Amino acid sequence: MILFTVRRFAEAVAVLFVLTFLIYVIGTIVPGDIAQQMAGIEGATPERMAEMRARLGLDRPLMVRYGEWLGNAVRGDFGHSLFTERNIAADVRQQFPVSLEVAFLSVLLAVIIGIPLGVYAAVNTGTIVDRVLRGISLVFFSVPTFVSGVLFVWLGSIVLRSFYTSFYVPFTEDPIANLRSVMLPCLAIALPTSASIIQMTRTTMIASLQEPFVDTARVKGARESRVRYIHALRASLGPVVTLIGLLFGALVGGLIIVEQIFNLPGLGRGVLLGIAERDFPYVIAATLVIASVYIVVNFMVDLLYPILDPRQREQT
Amino acid sequence: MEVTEAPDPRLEGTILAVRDLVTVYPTRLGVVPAVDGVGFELGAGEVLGIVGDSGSGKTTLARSLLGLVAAPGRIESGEILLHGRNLLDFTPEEMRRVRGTEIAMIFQNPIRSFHPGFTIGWQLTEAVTRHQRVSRREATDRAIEALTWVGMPEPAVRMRDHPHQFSGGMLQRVMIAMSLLNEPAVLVADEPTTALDVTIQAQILELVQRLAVDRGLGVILVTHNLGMVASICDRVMVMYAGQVVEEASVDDVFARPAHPYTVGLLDSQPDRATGARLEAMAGGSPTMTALPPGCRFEPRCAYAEAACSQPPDLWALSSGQTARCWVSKRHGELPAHPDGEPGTAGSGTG
Ligand SMILES: Nc1ncnc2c1ncn2[C@@H]1O[C@H](COP(=O)(O)OP(=O)(O)OP(=O)(O)O)[C@@H](O)[C@H]1O
Ligand code: SF4
Ligand SMILES: [Mg+2]
Repeated sequence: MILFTVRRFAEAVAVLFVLTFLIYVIGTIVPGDIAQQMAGIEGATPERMAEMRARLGLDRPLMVRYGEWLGNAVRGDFGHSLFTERNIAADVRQQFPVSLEVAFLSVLLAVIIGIPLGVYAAVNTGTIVDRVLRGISLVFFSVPTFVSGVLFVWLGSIVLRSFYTSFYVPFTEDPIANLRSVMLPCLAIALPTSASIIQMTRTTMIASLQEPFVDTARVKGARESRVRYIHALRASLGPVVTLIGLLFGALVGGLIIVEQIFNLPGLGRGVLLGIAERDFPYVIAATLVIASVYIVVNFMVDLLYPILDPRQREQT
Repeated sequence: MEVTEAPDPRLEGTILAVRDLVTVYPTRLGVVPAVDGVGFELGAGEVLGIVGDSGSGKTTLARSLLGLVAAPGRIESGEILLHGRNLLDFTPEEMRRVRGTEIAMIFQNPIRSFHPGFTIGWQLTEAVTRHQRVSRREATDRAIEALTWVGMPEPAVRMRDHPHQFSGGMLQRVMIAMSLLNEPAVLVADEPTTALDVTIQAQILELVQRLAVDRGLGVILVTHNLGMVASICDRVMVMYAGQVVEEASVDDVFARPAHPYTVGLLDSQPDRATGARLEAMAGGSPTMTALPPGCRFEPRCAYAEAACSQPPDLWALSSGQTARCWVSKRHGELPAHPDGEPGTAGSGTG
C-alpha cells in the first residue's frame, strides 16, 4: 500500500515534469511573436526586433531557456508578465483560489445532484422519471458550457436579481456574499457535469443491484435505503470516482468560459487574456498550475481505488 | 418477535407451514406460475430437501418465504405460517424484521454473496445491528462467537479480512455463521454447495446438518443433487413446473419413488444412471406460459394414460408418501414399469 502510494506519487511528479516541457515548447512555437508585438508594428525594423529578442532572452537555445525557466519555477518564480509587467506568481496566487473554489464547488454540486438522481434512476429503470432524467441528461450533454453560462447570466440578472452578486467577493472577506457571487457560475458548470454523473451512477448501480451481495443485505434485514446507499452504491463508486477525476480535466474548458461570462478573476479568464496578448510566461505558469491540480486530483483518485475495492490492494 | 396469538394446535412441533402458495411472474408472454399451489410443513431440527429441474420454481419458493420475490414477481395467494402467524399479512417493515431473526437464507455463490468492499467483521456485525441495539463491542463478540460455531480458525483475526482473502468454502461457513447470528428458526439454503469443490461440499452439508440438529433449526435445502438429499435430508419435496409432484421421507423416495418424474430424477443421477430409465426423462420442462392442460409431466411420461389429460391432485398414498399422479393413485404406488404390475419401482432393472 505504501509502495503503491510512493509509486503513484513518483508517476505524478514525472508526468508534471514532462508536462512543463511540453507546455514550454508549445508556448514557444505558437505563431505570433511577442517581440514583434512589443516592438510595435511600424517600428519593427529587424534591428529593433533583434534587440527586443535579446532583451527577452529569446535569442538563446530552447533547452537553455527551459532549464533556466524550470530552475526559477521550482523556486516559485515565474518571472514577470510581458503584458502587465506584474509578478506572475503573485497574480496566479490571487487567481488560483477563485478558480479552485469554483471548480471544487461545481464538482461538489454535480456530485450532490448526480449521485442521488443516478441511484433513483437505477432503482426505477424504465419509469417516467428515469426517462425524463435521461432526456435532461442528453440535453445537458449537448449544451456547451457557454450556452448554459449565458443562460445563467440571464437567469441571474433577471430572475435571481436579489440573490446573485455579479462581482466576485473573496470567501475570506464575506462567506455569504462569496457564495452568492459564485453560485450561478458553479451551477452553470455543475448541471452539465451532473448529467454524466447521473448516467454513470445509473449504469453502475443497475449492475450492482443485480449482485448477489445485495440480496445478502436484504436477507440480513437491512432496510432498502441501506441496501441501496450503503451496499449497492459503495460497490458502484469506482467508475463514478474515475469519472469525477476526469471531469476535473474537462472542467478547465468550462472554467475559462464561465469565468469570462461571469467576470470572475480566476485563472481561466487570465489564461484567455494571456493567450490573446501572447503573454507567454503568464500562460505557461497558469497552465502549469491548472495541470497540477488535475494531476493531484487524479493522484487522489488512484489512491481511492484500493480503499474502495480491497481486491486491488494485493495486485499493486 | 413475540408470538402474538395462540398457535394453531394442528401445527404442534411445526415451525413453518406453507399452504397453497402461488407466486407468479407477469411476463410479456403471459403469467408464469413459478410456484403453483405449493404446500409443506417444516419441523424444528428437520431438514427438508427441495429438488426439481431448473426452472421448476425452487428459488422462487425459497425467496417467497422471505418476502423477497424478484421483480416483477409477486405472491398471489396462499399462506406462509411461521409459528402460526401468516407472513403474507405482515407489513414490509414487519417482514424486514423477520428476515435474519426468524428466517435466514444462504445462497449459491458465497464469493459473490459477500460485499467485496467491506470486511467480514463489518458484514457480520451488520447482521446483528440491523435487529438489535447493542454496542459495537458486543456485536463483534457475537460475530466472533458465531465464527467459532462454523469452525473458523482464528476468528478474531479473520474478522478484519475482506472476502477475497477467503476460499469459497470458508466464505460459505462465514455465510452460515452470519445467518445464525440472530438465532433464526428457519434456514433456507438455495443450492449452498453448487459453487464449491466436491470435497468441500460434504463438509458444508455436515455443518448444516449438525447445526439443524443441535439448534433445532428447520432447514430448507434446495438442490439438484439427490446424493446430497440422501445424506442430510429427512424429507424431500420434488417439484416440477411450479408444483409439488411428490413429497415423502427420504427413505421412501429412494426406496419406491411414487411419481414418474422422481423415478427419472433418480435414474439420471450420475451414480445411478441406467440407460433404460434415462429415456423417461427425454424432453425438457414445459413452457411455463403454455402448460399442458392435464398432468404437466405428461409429454415426457412413460406411464401416461388416458386419465392424464386431466390435472392430477397431490394424493396421499397408503405408503405415507404423497404424489401427483393418476397411475400411482390407482395402484397405491408407482408400478416398477410402465404398463407393469404394481411393484417396487427402482433403478438398475435395465
Ligand atoms: N425475475 C423473473 N422474471 C420472470 N420470470 C422469472 C423470474 N425469475 C424466475 N422466473 C421464472 O420462474 C420459473 C421458476 O424459476 P426459479 O428460478 O424459481 O427456478 P429454480 O427451480 O430455482 O431453477 P434453478 O434450478 O435453475 O435455480 C422459471 O420458469 C423462470 O423462468
Ligand atoms: S399423471 Fe399420468 S402423465 Fe402425469 S406423471 Fe402420472 S402417469 Fe405420468
Ligand atoms: Mg434456483
